[in-house]
Parts: sequence; structure tokens; C-alpha cells
Amino acid sequence: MKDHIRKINPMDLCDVSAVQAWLEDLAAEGWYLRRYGPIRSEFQRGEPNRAVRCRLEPFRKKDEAEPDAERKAAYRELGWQYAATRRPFHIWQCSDPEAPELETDPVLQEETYRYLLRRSRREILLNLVLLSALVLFYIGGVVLNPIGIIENDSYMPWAEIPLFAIILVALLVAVQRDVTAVRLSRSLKTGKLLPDRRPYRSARWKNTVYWGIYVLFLVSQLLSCLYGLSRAASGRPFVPVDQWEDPVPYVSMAELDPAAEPATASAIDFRGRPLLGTAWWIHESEYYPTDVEEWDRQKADAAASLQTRYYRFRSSFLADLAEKQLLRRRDRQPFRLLPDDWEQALREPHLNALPAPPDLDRAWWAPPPPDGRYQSLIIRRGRQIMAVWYAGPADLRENLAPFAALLEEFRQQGLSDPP
Amino acid sequence: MGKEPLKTLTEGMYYVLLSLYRGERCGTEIAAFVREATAGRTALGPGTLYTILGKFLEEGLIRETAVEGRRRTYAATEEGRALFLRELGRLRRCVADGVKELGEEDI
Repeated sequence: MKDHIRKINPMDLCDVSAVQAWLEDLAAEGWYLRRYGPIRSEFQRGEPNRAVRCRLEPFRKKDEAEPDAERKAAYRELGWQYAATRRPFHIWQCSDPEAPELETDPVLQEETYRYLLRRSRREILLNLVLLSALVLFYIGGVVLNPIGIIENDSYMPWAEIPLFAIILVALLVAVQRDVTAVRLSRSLKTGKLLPDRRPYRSARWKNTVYWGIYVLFLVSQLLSCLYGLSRAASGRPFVPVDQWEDPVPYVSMAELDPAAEPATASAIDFRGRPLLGTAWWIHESEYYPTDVEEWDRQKADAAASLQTRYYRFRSSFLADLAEKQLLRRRDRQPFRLLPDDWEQALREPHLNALPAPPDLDRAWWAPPPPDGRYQSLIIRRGRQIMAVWYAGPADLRENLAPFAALLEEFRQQGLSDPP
Repeated sequence: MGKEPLKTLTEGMYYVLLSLYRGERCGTEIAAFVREATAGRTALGPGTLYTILGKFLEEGLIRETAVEGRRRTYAATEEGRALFLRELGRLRRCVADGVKELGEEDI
């Protein structure tokens, strides 16, 4: 038969009455507390005794340590044995039914719980600040850089949900602690001592759910890291357009210039942020790059080239933000896979708004720069945005119709939406 | 804002000061005195007792007189005795007012 066992703590330590009830129930089975850990506690076998009382005594000061020998001896003489300390409580046990309760004055007991109340308020404040900072950081990222976030496919889809769930759980736990502490304080002020026991089944279930969410969060973060590493390692190869099962949103060079030389179109998609939308990068030239590095070497030699970025956002608001970002950070260089290049290519914009484009909400165009070959075109239709860079004989301003038709086709079919 | 000094005493505080008014006692002797003096009516739990002793030491109402191994003994200071006498006077006035209002026969 085992002399020692370990049990996972079934509820928050600040749920004093529930913890006391749990410890007493274990003592009734013959298991006496030896160490109360942050996650699980150690118990030592002894004689089962249903008359054992377990009480949590709050620290009187912030930096209180384990009770000194004199205090333990004095408590022992009054019937109470020291069991363990777990900030912010000392835990005492008593097997003598004739011994007085640990606390017999509710007014004084309320004073000792004031430190706990202050602590719980500080925790809530800290959690609120953290939660606000994370929410602001997330929203700020989406508002300031929707393009960069939607194209960040090294992050597992839906991974934001466990993150917000764990923050919300932390806040709920802190609020629950505060509500408990306030109730205790009010009850003590009316002259009632704390209830020694309370049923703890619901507290146990709640704690199990909280731990489940926490474990889910840790697993999701681990999977997300592995997912990101695997995506980075693969180098995200371009796939020929005709090998995609889904329709690829692009206008070919042949549609712009029927006399264009045969070219190969290939694409990669970004569907890692289903809460925001999807994106595609499509490359068309006489060369077919297998990855970005090879394309970087070939693009300067291509006689004609068409680079397309297509975005479809979950809401018009997000599309508005992306549109502003594209206009703000116009990249006159042929695109690279790494989103950092958007930051590096900050130039004074000289995009010209095109007047009343047919079947489009808005369109902007810029000629090739003096030292470059690529025209730039940005068009918007509803929640869809396309950014196009074209090196070839056609004038994109006179070829808006195929782009408008493509966006209308995708709008009607609801294509490129996340699964 | 600084802590306000004690103005009134709870029942437990009253009996602890009473136990230390005339002599020195350690924690368990204080608890035993209170039990006997009140014929078991008032019990002082160790948590309450040590909270009271800590509070009284902070306020300067008692002082440690000796430490022998694990036993500490305490005695009331002049301030402690003065506070006790004020509290005793207050309680006497409360009792007198009650008796005057209700009459001895009704108590």
C-alpha cells in the first residue's frame, strides 16, 4: 500500500471553503496534506479520521514565510498542526474536536483577508492590462498591416482562438477570485465567520475546464510552431496554375496582349488566416520558378512578366484597411515572397486614381519608373483587391475590363473563401 | 493615510488585554485564561490569538518580555493598560445605560 500519493489540485486555492472541504474529505480517507503545490499536492497516509478539520490562514504580510517554530509550537498546544504553506495561505490541520476553531473573531478575520482582496484586485488589474495590450496588439496588427498578416502563412489557421481563450480564462479566474474575496469580506463584516466547508464539485469542474483550455492552448502553440517550421522549410513552391483544383484569380498576359509569347503561370495561396480572408500570389513569365530564390534570379531576364497579388477579405472594413496599406506602401519593385520587402520599398506614392472605372469600385495606376519596366495597377471591387505589376507592351489602363470581369466572376461564385 | 490606532476592542481583544494587564503570559496561557475567565463562553482560536498579539505589538499596547526557546511571553504596556481601562469604562457606561433604561428586573 502506498504511503504517499500526489493529487492534482481540483480548484483554485483562493476558494477557501472548497479547498478546506477537499482536504478534510481526503483526511477522512486517511490522506494528510504534506505539501501543497501550484498544480498538485502531496499527501501522506495516516489513520482515516472524519473529525479532522483543515483551515487556510491568509498571510498577514506580503512577504510572509513559513510560520516559525514558536508559532507552530503555540498552535500545536492549542490543537492545530502545521501542514503546508502555499502563498498566500498557511494550511493547518486539527484532529481534536474539542480544540477551538483556528479563527474565532470575524472582525479580525476580515482584516486578515484584506491583503487577499488587495492581491486579487492587483491580479485583475494586471490581467486586464495584459488582455488589453494583447487585444490592442492584435487589432493594431490587423489595422496597420492586414496584408502582412494575411500573407503570414507560417501561423496555423485558427490559432488565435486558443490564445484569446486562455487570456479570457485568466481574466475570469481573477474576477472570480475577486468576487469570492469581496463576498468573504462582506460576510465577515456582518459578523459571520467564513463557512468552513462548501461543496466543491462545481469548482472542480470549472477548474478542469480551465486546465483543459490551458492545455489546448499549449498544444496549439506547439503545433503552430511545428507548422510554421514546416512551412518555412518547404520554401513555399509555386504551383502551375493548371494544377490547382480551385480557380486561380489572375488575368493572363495573353488576355492583355494576344501577341504575347507563351508563358507559364504559377501560384501560391495563403489561407492561414481564415478569420481575415485569403490571398494569392500569381507569377507569369516565360520562366517557371520553382521557388522564390530561383524567380529572383530569373525575373530580371524575363522579356515580359505579370505579377499579381489577389486579396479577398472577410469584411469591407478589412478591405478598406488593406487598400490604404497598399496605397501607402506602394512597392514598385517586382514582388518578393518575404513580406519584409514591403517595409523596405517605402517610396513616395505616385499612383494616379483612374476616373470612373467600369464595374470596379476604384482603380489606381502608375507608369514604369525611369529605371524599371513594371506598370503598377491596384483595383478594388467590394471585399476583393488586386495589385498587379506588368512588364509588357499592353497599357493596363486600357485593359481594366478583364480584371473587372475576373473580380465579378469571383464575387458571384464566392470563390477563394476559406474552407 | 496612516493607520488609525485602535479605538474599540472586540471581545477577544478585551480579554487578551485583561490577561496581560497584571502580569506576563505566553500564548497558550492567554488562551487558557480567557477560557477560564469566561467559563468557556469565549474561545480564542490560535489564528485569532496571534492576530491580536501581532496587532497589539504593532500598536505598542503590549511588549515581549521574554523568549525562552519557543515560548514568548507578553505583558501590557502603559498604553495598553490605559486603553483597557478606557474600554472597561465605556462598557460600564453601556451596561449602566442599559440597566437604567430597562430596569434590573427586566434583565
